[in-house]
Amino acid sequence: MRTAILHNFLIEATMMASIAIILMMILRKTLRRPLGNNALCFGWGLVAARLLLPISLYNPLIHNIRSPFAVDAAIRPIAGQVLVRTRDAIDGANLLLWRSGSRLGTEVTERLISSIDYGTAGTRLMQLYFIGAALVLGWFIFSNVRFRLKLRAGQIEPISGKLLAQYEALCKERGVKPVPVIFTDPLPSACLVGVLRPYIALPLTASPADAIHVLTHEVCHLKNHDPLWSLLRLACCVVHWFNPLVWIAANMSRTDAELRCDDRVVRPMNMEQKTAYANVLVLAAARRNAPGVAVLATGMTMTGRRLKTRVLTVLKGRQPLRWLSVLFVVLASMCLVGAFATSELPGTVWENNRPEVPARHVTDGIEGKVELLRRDEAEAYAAHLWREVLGGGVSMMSSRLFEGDWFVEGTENGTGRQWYMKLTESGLVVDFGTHYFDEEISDVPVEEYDRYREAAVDAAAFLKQKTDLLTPGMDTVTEGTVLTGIVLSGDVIYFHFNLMPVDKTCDTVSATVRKTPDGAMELVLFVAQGNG
Amino acid sequence: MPIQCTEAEWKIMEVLWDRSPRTIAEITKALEPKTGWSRHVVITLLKRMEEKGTVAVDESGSAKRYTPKVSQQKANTEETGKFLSHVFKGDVSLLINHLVDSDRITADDLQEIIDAMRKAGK
Repeated sequence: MRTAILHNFLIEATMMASIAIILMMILRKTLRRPLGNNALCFGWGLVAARLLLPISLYNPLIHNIRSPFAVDAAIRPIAGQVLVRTRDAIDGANLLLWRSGSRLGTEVTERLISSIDYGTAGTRLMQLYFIGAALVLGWFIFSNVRFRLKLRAGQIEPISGKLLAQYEALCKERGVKPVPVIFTDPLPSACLVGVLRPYIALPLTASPADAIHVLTHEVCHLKNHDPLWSLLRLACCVVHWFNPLVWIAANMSRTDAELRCDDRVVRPMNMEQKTAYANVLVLAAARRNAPGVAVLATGMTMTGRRLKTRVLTVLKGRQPLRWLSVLFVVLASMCLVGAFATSELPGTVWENNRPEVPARHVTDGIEGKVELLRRDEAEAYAAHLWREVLGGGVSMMSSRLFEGDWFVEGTENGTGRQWYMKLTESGLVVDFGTHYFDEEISDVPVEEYDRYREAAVDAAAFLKQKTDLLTPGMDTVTEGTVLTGIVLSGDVIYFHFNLMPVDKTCDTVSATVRKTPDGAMELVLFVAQGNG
Repeated sequence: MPIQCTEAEWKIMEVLWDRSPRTIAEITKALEPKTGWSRHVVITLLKRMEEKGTVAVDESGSAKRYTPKVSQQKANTEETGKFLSHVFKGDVSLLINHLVDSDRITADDLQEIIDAMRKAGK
């Protein structure tokens, strides 16, 4: 899978949903009673939709936030901004560490920057993501299997007699198809277990008087389709395991589902019945054990402040304000649509503006347009360019497709130096260089450039010749070949240049020419930057 | 070996501590007013308790008769210990402080506890 697809979905979904989760937290704190638990649960449903649905709608304004430094057009503007800002932050950290003299820190940050630039960071992150998701999913499966096995071992018998008759009457009254109810011991509190074939596990120690209240609560969970909501919560936690807000939201959503269930239980009750029900809640709290968020089962137990909220809601709860609930549902639904609007309109993506590069056909020396659709084509074209530019062969190649471009690496015959090249599918070279550089380098001060004038002019001419070979469709401004730096390593000289293509194939090209004491020159770096 | 009784099994033990040996029918009848358990429930629980070693069964007569294998005092001590561990992290003084603070223990009771602890310490 292309990492861009995953990056787009995960970054957009997690950012948008995080904002929604924070808003829901504020609403729960301030407007729970007037909004009502039904509306809050609806809100959580919208959050889950944003977290899980890989949908992206067109947004005419989103192009304005596209970063020019996010080279890959496949990465949408929001994800692109995150990636660029992350790289900038690491760059800033690198500078601070370098200034503080921390060699290890500088090395680490430089490796991170390098891995971002050459695409390995994206691949590694994706691998890490899938490992994390697999571990979380494994833990959920293990927890559920363990819980179900424990319950099965504790099963005594299905309810019968008077209690069964009461239960069936209750289901009829509430409009729910009865599911099996099984006495279980030990079981701290009753729970509705399972999604496809649910059943109710009832503690053996529940008194006959309390049992019907407990069953009413579990029947209301059935009516609210809470097993499906549990599954949805688990899915959100697996897909977005790295976001702590999602886990907090899952917990909060579970609480709100319990409160919504209580609302449904007490709706037809008089005050005496409500008090009896509240007593059952308090007694259940004394046991303090309920299935965790990892388990696909409802649990009646809540303790502490949540219990207080629950009991007060049961005894004193007022009807929510209908108009406010409706307004919330409408506004929240509109916000959800907005949260999915992350794609640029067709034609605004800069990739469409890339000019076609008239170049040679890759294989058999046949004239024609370059199209690097397969790995062997990319490697063959790269080998051809290396021969032309370096004058010698490069072999032992490896290549991969990274976000639409081919990244090819090889070893120079004879010298063993490692070279790399990044090519678009149309054969445009956007990056070219070697992993080898001389050590012990020192910058030449600008005031001393005159000493190297003649060598610099030769190097510029050499660069022009090589540029024509690498990018035959690119026409550079001749007087715009700007010398930006000279670096020495013993007797070896490095000339750094910037080129500005007339035809705007890209904004600028950064290039470096290396000259050895015997007068031999070679192009060691060539990077096309910007979108022209 | 620690005693592992569930809350439901504890109810059966209380019936057996009150009077034993008892048959299944007698146990069911004794529990019926409080719990409403059927005979099948009691049979299932007794089977588990037999496997755990908390009750012994005598099959020599026409009906099986059950006796507790653990004394009530020992069971209470263990449960108190578990309670202490769970609620007061094993610290008896915390429990006593709590009982004193909540006026659930008299001065005489407290003196009795201190005397018993001194005796145990000797």
